[in-house]
Amino acid sequence: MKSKLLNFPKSFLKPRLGQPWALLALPRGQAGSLLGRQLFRIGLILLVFGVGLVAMTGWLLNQAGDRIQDEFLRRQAAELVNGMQDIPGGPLQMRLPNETLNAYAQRRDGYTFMVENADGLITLESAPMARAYLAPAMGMMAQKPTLLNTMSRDGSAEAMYILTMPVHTPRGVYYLTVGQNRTIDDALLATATTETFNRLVLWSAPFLLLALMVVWSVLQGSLAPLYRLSGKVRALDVLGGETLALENVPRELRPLVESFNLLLNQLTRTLEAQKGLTADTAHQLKTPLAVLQARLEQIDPFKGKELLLKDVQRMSRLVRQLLHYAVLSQQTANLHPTDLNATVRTVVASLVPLARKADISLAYDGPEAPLVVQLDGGLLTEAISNLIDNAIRHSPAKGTVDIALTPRGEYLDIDVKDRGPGIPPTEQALVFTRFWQGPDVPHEGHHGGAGLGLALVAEVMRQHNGQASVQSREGGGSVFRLTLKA
Amino acid sequence: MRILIVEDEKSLAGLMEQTLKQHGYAANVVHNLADARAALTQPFDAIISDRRLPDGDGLDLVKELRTQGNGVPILMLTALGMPKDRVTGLEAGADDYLGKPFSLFELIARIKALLRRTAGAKGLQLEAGNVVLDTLHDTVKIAGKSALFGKREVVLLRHLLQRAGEVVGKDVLEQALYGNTNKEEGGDSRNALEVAIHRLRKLLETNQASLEIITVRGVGYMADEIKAA
Repeated sequence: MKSKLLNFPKSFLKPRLGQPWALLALPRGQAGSLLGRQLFRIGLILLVFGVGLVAMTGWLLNQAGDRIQDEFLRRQAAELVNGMQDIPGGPLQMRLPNETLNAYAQRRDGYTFMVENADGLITLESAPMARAYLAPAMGMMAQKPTLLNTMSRDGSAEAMYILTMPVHTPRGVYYLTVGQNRTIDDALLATATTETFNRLVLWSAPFLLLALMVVWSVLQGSLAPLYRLSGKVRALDVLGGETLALENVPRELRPLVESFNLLLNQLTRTLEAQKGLTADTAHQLKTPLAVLQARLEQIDPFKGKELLLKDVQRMSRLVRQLLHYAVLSQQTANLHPTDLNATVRTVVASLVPLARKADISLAYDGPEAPLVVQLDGGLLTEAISNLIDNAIRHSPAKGTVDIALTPRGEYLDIDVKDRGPGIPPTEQALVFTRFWQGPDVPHEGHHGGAGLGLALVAEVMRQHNGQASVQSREGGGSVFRLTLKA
Repeated sequence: MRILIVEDEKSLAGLMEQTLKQHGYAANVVHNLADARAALTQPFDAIISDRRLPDGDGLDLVKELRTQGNGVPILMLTALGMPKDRVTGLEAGADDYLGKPFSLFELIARIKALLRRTAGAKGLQLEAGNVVLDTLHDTVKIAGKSALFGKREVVLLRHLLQRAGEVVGKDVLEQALYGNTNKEEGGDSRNALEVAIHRLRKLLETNQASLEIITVRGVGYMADEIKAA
């Protein structure tokens, strides 16, 4: 089960150009495994969701980083606004601890600020050239933290977060602009978020695998009723008219079971009809044939009477064989312990009168003790009768047909040996097929059968898990052998 | 000897009736089960019945008769000639089973055999060829002349004549001669049977009987008329 599950067709994994959705479909003509297909689809869905979730988490982490940065910038701005002192008559001053001011001046944490008045004149700045960094922000009035590209001291490009806040004083409005070199805190934050993100990706892989395993076992469990159902179907005696019980069948499987039962009922009805038809045909054909034969026998001898009688008998034989074959091929053997030795002996005894008419002797060589085997006595009688009957009709007058029952290890051989013309080795494999006719024999009508007798024998043996075979007999003739398991 | 024919195919029934009359039997023909039941208020020596009749299965008639304790010999005729059908027929209580189509000669032979079997039980005469066995007094006549047969030979002859034209199993004959043979004596009794058969053959031959005893190796023996060539 497991190996089958993983055994995807190779083409399955090869995405087809132009139709990537084809990955979800199976190659033409292949149904694959229901479980495998579902697992693949659910796996794909899990993967898409997983990737989406991870991507979203990454994006949110990034956003969080940005918000942290924004918050820092806002706090910085608030600190600076608090520090601004507008002394009447004097210049605008930034009253902050020296250390803080030094930090700004040296851009220790990457912070820079400047203050403009309403006319756009710069009245304060963190360091003499701070305006150079913040130049792009002038006139922008970035009321939200905004990322801008500025020029660094050495002239290289530099990304900077900018925030401009209006400060209302009695002297008028000033604009405080704070900037932070992005690279400094960003690097720290990025390291944290990337690490978290990587860890998430790393952990989600085994999680996905675990989820797939859970899905697999759930799917397996959900398919169990299907397995149970197929077991029940296999054990069904269809010929006996059995149908599936609806009890304990899950609702989803009910339509299937109901359709199946409907089909079974139709099948049973058809079989019944056919059986009836066969029996009817038997009655319809055999009775007129019996009348014909009886009438012929009642008429005073005339030229050709014997030939006509033979024709009628031949026709009767054909009808009988056809019907036996038809009935046999639609019924199953009813095997029960039976004495094979007695069965064969009885068949031989019953055919002695027929053999005597053809001036043939029958001889049976069997064991002394009974040989009890699982078999259908009626069917086996039919098969052995057919073989002996054939042998009688192919044997020359005054000949003997030898019948033997021989235990051979775990098998039992029933041999029927004649001294007839024999069967060419090239034909031997064909004799048990339907409608096989022996090589032409000069006196026509002597043995012409329907070519069903041996097919019937083969069918009986098939139903007994046995075998029918034919070999050439040493010194001329054939040996027909039925092999049964002891 | 009166025989009842139950057959719905009128032409076949007529032909059977004609043939039986030619062979010295009295025959009555009915075409359905109801008429058969009505006819059976009188005694018959044998019944020939089809299975598929307009108002039911001929086997039901057999079962009825058997439950009534009526042991009249019954020969079933049928178009259902499968071995299984034969077994069901015999199990239901029929004495013999003949599949359609059949030869009228075969029919007569089967009827004769059926009547012979019941005759043997009733202590009447058994006949085959020119051999007549009086089962009441165990005396044998060949071509009208009395022949002296030993006790064992008469027992053998009786069993063989009851089923003349059929093979009688060795075990049946051995049992008839010696009762229940036990295994250790098996070899002896088999030899004894062969000796007894040999003696019977000699007796038939010296008395110029038109009856021969055929050996079917591994199965048994069969008494059969010697047909004039």
